[in-house]
Amino acid sequence: MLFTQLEFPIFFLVVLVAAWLSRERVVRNSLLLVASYYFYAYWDVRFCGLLILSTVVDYFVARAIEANTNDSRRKHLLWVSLAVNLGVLGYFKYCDFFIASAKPLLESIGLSGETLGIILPVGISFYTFQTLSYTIDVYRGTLKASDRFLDFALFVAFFPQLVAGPIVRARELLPQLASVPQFSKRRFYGGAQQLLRGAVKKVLLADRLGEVVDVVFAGPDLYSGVTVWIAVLAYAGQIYYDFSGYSDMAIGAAKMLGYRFPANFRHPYLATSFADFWHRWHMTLSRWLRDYLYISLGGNRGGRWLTYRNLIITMGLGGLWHGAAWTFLLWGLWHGVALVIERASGSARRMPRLLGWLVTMLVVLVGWVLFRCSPDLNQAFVVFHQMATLQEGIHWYPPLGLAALGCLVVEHAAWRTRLRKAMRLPITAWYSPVATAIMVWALLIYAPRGFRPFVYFQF
Amino acid sequence: MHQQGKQRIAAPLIAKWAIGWVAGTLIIALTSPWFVRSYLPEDFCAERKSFVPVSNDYRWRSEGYATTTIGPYGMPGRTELRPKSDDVMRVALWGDSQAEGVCVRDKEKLFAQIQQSANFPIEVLPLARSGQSAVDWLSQMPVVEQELQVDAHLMLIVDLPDLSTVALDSHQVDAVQTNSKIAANIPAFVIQAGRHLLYDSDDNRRHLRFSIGPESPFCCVFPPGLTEGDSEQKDWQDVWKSDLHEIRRASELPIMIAYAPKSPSISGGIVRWDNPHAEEFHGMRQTAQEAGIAVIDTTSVLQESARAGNWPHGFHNGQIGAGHLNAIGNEVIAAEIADSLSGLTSANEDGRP
Repeated sequence: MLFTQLEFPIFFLVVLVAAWLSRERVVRNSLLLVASYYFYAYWDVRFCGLLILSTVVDYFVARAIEANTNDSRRKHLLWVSLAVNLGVLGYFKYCDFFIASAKPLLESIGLSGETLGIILPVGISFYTFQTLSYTIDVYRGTLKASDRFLDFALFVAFFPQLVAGPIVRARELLPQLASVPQFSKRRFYGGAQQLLRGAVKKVLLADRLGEVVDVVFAGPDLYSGVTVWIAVLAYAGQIYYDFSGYSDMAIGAAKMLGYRFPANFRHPYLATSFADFWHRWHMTLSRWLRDYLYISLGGNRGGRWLTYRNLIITMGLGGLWHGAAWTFLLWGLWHGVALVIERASGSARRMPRLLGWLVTMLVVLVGWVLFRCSPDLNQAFVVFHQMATLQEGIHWYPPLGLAALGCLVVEHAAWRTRLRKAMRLPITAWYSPVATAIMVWALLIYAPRGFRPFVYFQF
Repeated sequence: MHQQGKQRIAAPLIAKWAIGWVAGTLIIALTSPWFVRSYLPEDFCAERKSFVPVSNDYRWRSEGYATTTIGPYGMPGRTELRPKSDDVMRVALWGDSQAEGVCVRDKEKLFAQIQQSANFPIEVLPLARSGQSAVDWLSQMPVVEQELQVDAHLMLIVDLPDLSTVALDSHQVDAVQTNSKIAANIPAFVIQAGRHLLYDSDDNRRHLRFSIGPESPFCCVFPPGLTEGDSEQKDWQDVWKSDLHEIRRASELPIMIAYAPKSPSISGGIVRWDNPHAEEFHGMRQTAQEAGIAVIDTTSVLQESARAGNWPHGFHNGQIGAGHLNAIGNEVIAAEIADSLSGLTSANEDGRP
C-alpha cells in the first residue's frame, strides 16, 4: 500500500483508532504487527515469507550471540545472519544483474545467459539493513538482544518505515515498543502536520516535477540545452521531494501512533560540501553505511590511503544498494571520488561557502543524471552533451514544473531564516489552519492525475 | 479547575481553526480560476437539438491557459452571429475537442483562423464539442442547416473512430443533465476535488481495493470501434462504408472532412513521423469520395510545420508534440481548409461535391 493511495487514509484511520484504544502493550503491538503485515501483503502477500524469515533468523541469532561468550562462535553466528540476509537480498536484487553482466562469459562456457526475471520485493533493501544493524549491534555488544519476539517482529515490519525507510535502528525503536506510548496532543498534531506536509511534497511537487523529467529524459536529444537543464534540476527536486515526502509521511504516521523516528533529510541542497551533503541526504542510510560498512572497513584509522579506499568502497556499495546497475555503482563511486578529493584537498575548509555550494551542487546534479538514466549510460552522455553544449531543440518551459522548482528554492532559502519554525505550522499560530486548509484543498484539486509510485520503492 | 482551563483553551483554538479553515478555503476559491478549469452547465438548444453550454466564459487550464467566450447557440469563441448574407459562405464546423479548441484563445481557434486565412467572405460556425463524434453531428446537421442557414459542413477528424455513427445511449443524456445541475450549483474547485476523489486518471469510477496483493493485471482498452489486430485484418473501405454513407445521407449540402492526425507526435522520447493510421485513412478517403464527401489531408502541412521547429500539437503546460492542436496547428490546418473550401464552393454550385 502506498501512502498516497486513497486506501491508505482509511487503513490508517482504523489502525490509529484501534491502536490508541489498546491499553495493553501486547494487544497494541499485535495489532500493529497484523496491520504492518497487511500493509505489506497489500502489495504482494507472497513476499511476507521473506519478512518472516528475516525476523526469525535475526531474533534467534541475536539471542544466541548474546548467550555465547566464545568469540569464534559469536562470529559464526553473525555470519549466519549476514549470509541469510545478504543472500536473500543478493538473490532478489542482484541475481539478474550479475547474470546479465556475466552473459558473454556464461555463454562462452555453454551456460544460458538469460536472466531469471526475479521480482524485487518492495522494501527488501530497507528491512534487510534494519535487521542487520540489530544483529551487528548485538554482536558488538552495544545493544541487548530483544527477548520479546512480538516487539522484534514489529520493529522489523512496522508499516510506516517498512518499504522505504527511514532506516530505524533497533536501539531507537525497540525501547519505544516496550511500552504503550503516552498520548500527546502536541505530538499527534505534529505527526499529522508532517504527514500532510509529506503528502504535499510527494503529490504536488515531486509528481509535478516528475512530469517534466519523464518527458525530457525519455528523449533528451529532442530538447534544447536549456530545457534539459530544467529537467535535470527538476529531477533533483523530484527525487528530493519524493523521498523526503515519503520520509515525512512515515515519520508523521509513526508520530501519530506515538513513536519517534529519526530524521532522514535536512535540506540537502543547502550543503556547501560533499560531506555536508551526505549529512543532509538520506541521513539514516548515511549513518548506516558509516557505522556498519565504513567503520567495519577500518574507517579513517588506517592512514590517508586506506581512508580514501574505505570511502570509495563505502560509497560504491552505497550506490549499488540503490539499484542493481553499473550506473548506480558509478553514481556511488562518483560521490566517493568527490568525497576523497574534498578530504585530500581540504577544500571544504578553504573554499568560500558560495563556491563550495556551487561545486557541490554541480557534482550532485551530474550524479543525479547518472542516477536517473540508470541503467542506460549512453542516455546519460546525451544529457551531459545537451547540458554542456546548450544545443538547440524543442524549447519547453512547463510553468507548473518551474513553479515547483521555485518552491524548492524558496523552501530551502526559508529554512535558513526565522520562517523555519513557522513552516512547522504550530497549532496556536493564526496561519496554521489557513495553510492546512490550503494544503488539503490543493491535494484534492491540483494533484497530477495518474499513478506515480515513490521513486525509492524500486530500491 | 484544570478541566475548565482546558476548555477555555480549546474553545478559542477550535474557533480559530474553524475561521482559519474557512479563510484557507476562500483563498483556494479565489485563486483556483488561475489553475482549475470551469464546469459549465448545459441547456437544450432547440436550434441545434443538442445540449450546449450556457455561460459567458469557459476556462481551460490543463493545456494552454485560454478562456473561451461562449457565444450564441453555445458556440465556443464566436461572440455574435449576424443574419446570413448571400455573399458570405457559412460553414458549420464539427468535431471534437481538437476543433473546439478551448486550449487556445478565441482568435487562435480553428474557426477564426479559417476565416482569417480565406480569401473570400466566409463565416465558420464553431459547433464542435469535446467528446462528440459523427453520431452527435448527424442529428444536428439538418436542424442547423435550417436554423442557421449554413452552406456547407466541415468535419475536423483527428481520430478516425470519431466518424462512427453508433447511437448515443440514454445514460449519457442523463449524465449531461446531472452534470449540468452540478456545474450550475457547485464551485468549480469543489467539482474538481470531487472528480479527483471519485474518478481515476482515465475518468473511470475509482474503485478502492482492500484485498491483499498481487493485484490482477489490467486489461487493455481499445477505442470504440477498434479492436486489437484491426490494422492487419480489416478492409478499411468496408469499415467506413456505412458510417460515411450515413453522414452523406444526413445532408444535401457539401460536406468536407479535414483529416488532421496527431502526427508527428512525441511519445516516450521518440518522434513518430509516420501516421500509424495512414492505411485506415486512405480507406476512409476512398470510401468518402465515392459517397460524395470531400476529404483533405493536412498530415503533410502538420509535419512540415514540426520539421521547421513549429510543433502543431502541445503546450508548455502540457507536452510539446503531444495532445491538442495549438495556435500554430490551427493556423496551418486553417490555411489548408480555407484553400480547399474556396475550391469546394466554386466547383459545386449544385450543392454536391
